[in-house]
Amino acid sequence: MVILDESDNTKRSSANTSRAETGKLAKKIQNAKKDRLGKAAAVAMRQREMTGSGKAFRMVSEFVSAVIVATALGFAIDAIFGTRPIFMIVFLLMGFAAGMLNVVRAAKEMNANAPKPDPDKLVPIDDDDD
Amino acid sequence: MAGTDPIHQFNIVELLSFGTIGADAQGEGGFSLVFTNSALFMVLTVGIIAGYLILSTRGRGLVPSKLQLVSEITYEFIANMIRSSAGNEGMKFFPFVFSLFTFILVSNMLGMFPYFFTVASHLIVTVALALLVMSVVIIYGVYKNGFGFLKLFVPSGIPFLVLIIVVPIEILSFLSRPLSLSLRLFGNILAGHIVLKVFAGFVVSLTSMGIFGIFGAVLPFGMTVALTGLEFLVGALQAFVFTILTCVYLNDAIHPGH
Repeated sequence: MVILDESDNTKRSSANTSRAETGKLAKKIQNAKKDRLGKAAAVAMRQREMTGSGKAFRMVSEFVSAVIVATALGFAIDAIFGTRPIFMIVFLLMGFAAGMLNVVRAAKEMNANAPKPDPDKLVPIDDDDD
Repeated sequence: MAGTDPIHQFNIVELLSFGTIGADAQGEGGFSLVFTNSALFMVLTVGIIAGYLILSTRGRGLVPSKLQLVSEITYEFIANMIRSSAGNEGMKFFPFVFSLFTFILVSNMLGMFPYFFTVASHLIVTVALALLVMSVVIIYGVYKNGFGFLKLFVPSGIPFLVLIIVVPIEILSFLSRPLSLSLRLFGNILAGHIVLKVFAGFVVSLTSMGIFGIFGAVLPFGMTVALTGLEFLVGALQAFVFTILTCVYLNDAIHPGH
């Protein structure tokens, strides 16, 4: 009886430990998964932030392409209706606005992806000599 | 200066001609079907990608080998990119986005070999890629949302009078996307390769100017080495930017309306 009891106990305890171990393992896996996602995001972020010229080129191409497309469209409309250069001018201005919109959107997106600044560092340093 | 011409690397060479369709009596005009060096490098790119992915994942190891790991990391990288910018619904487009990314990345890396041709250095190639992206966005957007896709051009919460101005601007902004997408990739690759070749050309022309020239050539040589590294970075970065913008645009097709 005693022996049986003991074996029963050990069985239970081993079941408990194995459950605890599984729990630990599950947590470990979860952490690893979180880590990996975080790392992938961090890598993506770093890659995006890597070159300032890359960012600048993005802005420029967003702006310039809108102006080019709009002007070309205006030119085509003028060519069809023979109203040169009214539509070209109107579309050039609208392309300017669309380009600005593109740039603002791109900047917003870059801001959203940039790491948040540390709020403690935003507090102005008290450098008064009271 | 035949050896140091920086534009020479972009020449299209006809390798195999399949004849011309619709030429007139003098053999002018028409549409010629030619297998060029550009096409050769596209085929090479696709071959390398397909070959690598198939061979590296053939083992199907639960614990991946190093080669398989690279394939899996690429998969996860693209999958995370799509999920974060277009949501889980965007995973429908995973094969498309993955193909785009690997094609641009591998073709840019191939272009870094001396004497190799860089596919993305021709505007027509990048325009074709960008138009492919935009047609997928438009066709899927209309197929899924019907006329609701036009909500993309109408920002919510704006009075009617302002809409008259805003809607054409939004439409223009949308129309400019394929151009900006293609110009960026083309411009980066073209400019980078030209600058690289110009500096390398300085080395050649300086060394032919006697002993001082040889010492002077150290400077552009160092620059060439640095620029080569930068070009690898730019090639990878532009592939990344192209695909992430594709994801952003696909997100517009899936969820139009801001």
